[in-house]
Amino acid sequence: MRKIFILLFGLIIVGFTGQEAVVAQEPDFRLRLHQLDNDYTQEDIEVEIEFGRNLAARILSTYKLLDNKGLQNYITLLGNGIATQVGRPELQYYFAVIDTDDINAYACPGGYIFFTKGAIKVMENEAQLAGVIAHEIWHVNFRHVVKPLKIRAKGDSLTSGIAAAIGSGTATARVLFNQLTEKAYQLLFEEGISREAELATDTAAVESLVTLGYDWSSYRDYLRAIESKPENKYRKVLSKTHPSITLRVESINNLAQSLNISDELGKKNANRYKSNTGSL
Amino acid sequence: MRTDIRAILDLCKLKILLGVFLLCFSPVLLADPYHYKNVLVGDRAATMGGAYNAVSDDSTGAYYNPAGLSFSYGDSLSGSGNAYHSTKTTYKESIADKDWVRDSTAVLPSFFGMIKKIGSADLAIAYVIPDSIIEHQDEQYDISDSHPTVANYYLSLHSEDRTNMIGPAISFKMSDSFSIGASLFYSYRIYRHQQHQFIVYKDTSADTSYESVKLEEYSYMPKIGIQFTPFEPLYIGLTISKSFLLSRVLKRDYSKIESGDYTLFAGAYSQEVDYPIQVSLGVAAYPSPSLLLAMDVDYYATTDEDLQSVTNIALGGEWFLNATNAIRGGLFTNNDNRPECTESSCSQAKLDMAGLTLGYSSFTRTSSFTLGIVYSTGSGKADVYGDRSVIVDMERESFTLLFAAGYNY
Repeated sequence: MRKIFILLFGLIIVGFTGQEAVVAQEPDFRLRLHQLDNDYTQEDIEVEIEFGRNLAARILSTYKLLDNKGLQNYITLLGNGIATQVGRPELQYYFAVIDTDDINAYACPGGYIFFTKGAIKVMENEAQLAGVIAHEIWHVNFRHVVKPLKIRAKGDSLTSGIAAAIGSGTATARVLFNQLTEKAYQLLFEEGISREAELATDTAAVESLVTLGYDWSSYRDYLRAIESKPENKYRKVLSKTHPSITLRVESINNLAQSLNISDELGKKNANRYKSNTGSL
Repeated sequence: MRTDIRAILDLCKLKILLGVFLLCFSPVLLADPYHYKNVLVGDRAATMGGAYNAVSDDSTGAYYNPAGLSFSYGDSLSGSGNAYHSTKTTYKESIADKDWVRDSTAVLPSFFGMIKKIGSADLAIAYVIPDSIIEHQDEQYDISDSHPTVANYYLSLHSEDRTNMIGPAISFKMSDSFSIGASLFYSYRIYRHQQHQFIVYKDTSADTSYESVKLEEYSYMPKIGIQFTPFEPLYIGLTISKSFLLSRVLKRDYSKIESGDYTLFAGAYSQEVDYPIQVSLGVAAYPSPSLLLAMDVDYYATTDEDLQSVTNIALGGEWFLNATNAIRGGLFTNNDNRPECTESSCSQAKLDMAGLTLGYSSFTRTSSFTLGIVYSTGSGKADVYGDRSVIVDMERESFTLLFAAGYNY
């Protein structure tokens, strides 16, 4: 018997060494009521906004804003229009394009959302941009950075009670706060959130497009367009932080099938998109 | 497993020599390797009757099913202390016409554990006390009316029996619907027993005896587990485990004065034990974020010819009244692995038990506090004198008041 156990343990250890890393994330149905975390106070929201602003500043310390006023205005107008429909009403959303050829978009807590110039260049119409905007808004709605980092006004731990850290002004508190900001930056640019969370966000984005009257399949086409690009450094962050595009497209197709919605349903606004982004 | 018992049963021959009552298996009775669920481990798990194999998503998962660690909610610390753990065993009319009642009370921490998520793995370390009894008894029995030769019987004993287990566990989530885990517990059991008996005869003569027993046992227990969901919201857990003995030494000192003659004895025995293989199957249903229902079936397959394979069943439920308050309940069996006790064949006793649990938890954002009770009872037969001359009815009740705290960070 002892040999059998030793053998089984050995097999497991060998098996683990070749196992692809999968971020542990509990399916939602296993979460208990006290883990659903829906009781956010106004103070919590204020802290989230403050934290998101700091994270946005951290991003802008690495990437410049794209110097294209027309495009920035267009993104802001479109983003705010979508946010009024699908965003959290207590937040003021901010949208901007950063000057990098990376293909990605980033959502900071509190409603600070960035798109890369590289992503804008891959898109072909407004429906695709609307899909990406909705996707990022839903990251904020779902608190995909807030929850894992426990961004709260008051908490039982040093990292969760950051209102005091923001307010105290002590060096230690500021160091803690900056460490948390750096963690969030790592989450966006290095680690990513869970696969389940990304797929849930895609689902919400597609449903939003249908609700808004945009062509939902354009969002899927945008993902396919990224997939068709060479796997170079510009796709590196996206590949690292998101599930495979094949999986995302498959998930979207399954959703469309379950909702019984056909392709090419809704507006694309290709001309308006091109007129606002043609200078890139 | 019972070689220590056999050694001690030699003492029972005294009874034949003295012709009076010396309750000779008392040293081993409370060192209870015959039941597998004397202490329900953990807080949430214990208050759900131990039906936790398919749940196991906190640090107690290291003990119940390490595969469940993959579904834990962030890093966490948790510990439970049994504020009060008592066991009362009654042997009906075993000392002439009087009942022999043995009480045990103990305050013990039954569990402490922590989980840390590192990359794709969930690591845990847990400290578990799956069984603990402390018994102190000073009794005088006046049996002059019911016994032909004995006037008084004095019994003074002190017993302590505790099993400590500590070990790491690791779990990997292989897919959205499947996880696998393993744990390895190092176990140390220490059993100490001192017993003094004094018999006063009606002719004013007296006999006395004293014995001291110490048992130390070292073993390790690997456990392998999986959890998977065939369809939501159902989860299934499966574990297999077996303990392996490293060493087991029984030391016994004995002295007696009997009819004016004295006897001294001291011995030490190195013993072998073949522990049972435990296979546990659990099912858990999560019909809503407020409700959890679970069931475990634990099968212990022994190769010891003197013992039997045993199956225990546990049922448990959890209901969230709101986001900060939850209640739990459970039912469980704690069956005896010894064969039936009759006048023709008896291995000390046979006592099947069943129990119920109730619990309440209060939650904050990052912490929880649990209060719970575990009550079990059972009845059976016992061979009090070790030679099957008197088979008596026996009853046992066990009560635990537990409190526990958990912290997510």
